Amino acid sequence: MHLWLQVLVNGILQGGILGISALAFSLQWGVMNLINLAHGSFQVLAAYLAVLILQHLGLDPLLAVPLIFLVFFAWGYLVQFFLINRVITSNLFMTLLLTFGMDFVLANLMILFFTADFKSINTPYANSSWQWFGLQFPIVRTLALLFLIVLSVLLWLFLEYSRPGRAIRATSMGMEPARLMGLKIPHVYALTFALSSGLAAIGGVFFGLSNAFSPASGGPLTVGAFVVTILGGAGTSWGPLAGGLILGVLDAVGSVVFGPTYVNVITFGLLLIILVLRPNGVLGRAG
Amino acid sequence: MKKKRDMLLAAGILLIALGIPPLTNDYIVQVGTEMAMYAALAGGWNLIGGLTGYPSFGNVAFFGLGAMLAGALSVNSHWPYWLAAAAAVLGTGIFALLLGLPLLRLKGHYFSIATLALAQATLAVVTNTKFLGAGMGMSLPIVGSPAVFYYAMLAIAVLSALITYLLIHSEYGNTLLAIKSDEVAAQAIGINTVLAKSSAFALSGVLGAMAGVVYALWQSYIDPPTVFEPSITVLMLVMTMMGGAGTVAGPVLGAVLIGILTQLAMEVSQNASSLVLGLGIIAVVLFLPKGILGFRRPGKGGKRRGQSNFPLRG
Repeated sequence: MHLWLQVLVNGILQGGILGISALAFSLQWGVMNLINLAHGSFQVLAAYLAVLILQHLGLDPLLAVPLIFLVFFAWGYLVQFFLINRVITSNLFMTLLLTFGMDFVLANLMILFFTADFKSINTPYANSSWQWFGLQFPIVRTLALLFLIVLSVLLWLFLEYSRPGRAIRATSMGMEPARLMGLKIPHVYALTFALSSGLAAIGGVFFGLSNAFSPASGGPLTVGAFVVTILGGAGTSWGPLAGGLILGVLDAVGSVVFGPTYVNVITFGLLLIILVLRPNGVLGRAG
Repeated sequence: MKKKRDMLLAAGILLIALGIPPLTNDYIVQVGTEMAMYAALAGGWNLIGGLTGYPSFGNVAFFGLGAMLAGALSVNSHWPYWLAAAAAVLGTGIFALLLGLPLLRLKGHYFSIATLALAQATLAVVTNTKFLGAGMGMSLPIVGSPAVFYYAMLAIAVLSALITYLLIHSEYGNTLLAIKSDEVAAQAIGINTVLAKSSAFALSGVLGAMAGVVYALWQSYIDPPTVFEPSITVLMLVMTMMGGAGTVAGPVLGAVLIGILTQLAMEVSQNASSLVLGLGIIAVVLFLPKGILGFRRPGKGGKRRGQSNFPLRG
């Protein structure tokens, strides 16, 4: 009983990191119909940036989160404005291919600069846990879940009530009407991508704090974000939270029941089953 | 007369390709075998991704499954290799046909990601299956010479191009093009789109498996991470896109150009060649969106994008 409670806690906490990652992925998808295959590499890059900041500035990764967010916000804006915007209105496949190419370039640049070896971020609290009710709550993962909840609320408030947030929502409902209302679509898109790059980077820092990572860690992160988004529904503020918790718990329980080598079978099998049963996504409509 | 010129050109290229082993050295034959393999794979991808307009991101599953099945049947069950190869190709074809039925109901992104997941799931299942080596590599007997494998791969590449040519000039090919242009309209005029799409997917799988079974014997050592390497799928689709999706010569042209580029970059370093590939993909998308040969017919290479599928909800 106690073992299962701990497994459940591990799964829920794992959901925090998955959820932050999906928050970014789902925003791009929901607003621009863009699947960013370089998403995972963005996150790994953010983890390396956290390592560099820790080494050279001595700044703790958690305190560096605002700085990393801003760096990736700016970088995301430029990438969308100068690169992705050029193909975003052609067919879907082109944007997939473009982000695939970006992923390749980023992953190989990371190998060039940081080698292909696994790294981890060494902080005093990286492997410690809080003890509540006789259960272990790893500090980083617990904070990640809290961050996810706070970020979900902030994102919802931003999209619901702020002017740029409304512009993003209007654009997601239809590009042409939004344009006719006087919105500058390229900038709205760039802002959306900037925001989600920043969010992805925050998720990357948490990932780096709780896992060893290498330049090749990006692929699984992208697929994880995809599965969570499908589970929770793209373009919703609360979907990533729900999807993250579901996948986190399923993976945790699955790896205890079937063994750790089956985690991939579960994740991908689940993805295939959901897609086949709900061809337009769990919350999607015919289209 | 354009057709006659094309035929002469194809015959000329084939003649040059046939002459490579006797006239050059083993290194070039090796590179040529790889190019022929990718021409075959890209040609197979082109059937589903280029002609039918369903960009698969998981075609490596067929290559990997073909190689692992043939290896296991010959090493573990002691079948003669030709029989193991035939069974592996047939098995993979059926696998593709059956999976195509549910997967090809998916549209746009969903299809692409589902096929990506399919490749990963297949790898995970193969890794956990005892008969297929349970994730360990397999050693096959060393047979043949570089030239034998070169001609075998070349034969599959030619077959792949021939199938594409025959498809494009057949009613079935028109069916696929109709699906690509407007699937709902195709359905409305009575085309059995499910059957047409699934058989194109299966054909694509058969070509992938054929390349896989030859690859297994050629390398004489295979393990799941190598034969299910996702970048093999990337290469297939980049080559096809670069040369021209939906054309007969596009995948071949793409395979040869990328093959030469990769060799040049390899001179610098392994890492550099991957970097060049990535930059090449971005360049193709930005500057050559229709490929060097362009699409055969006017129209678009995928689903229409209007507004997004998901309005942002609170």
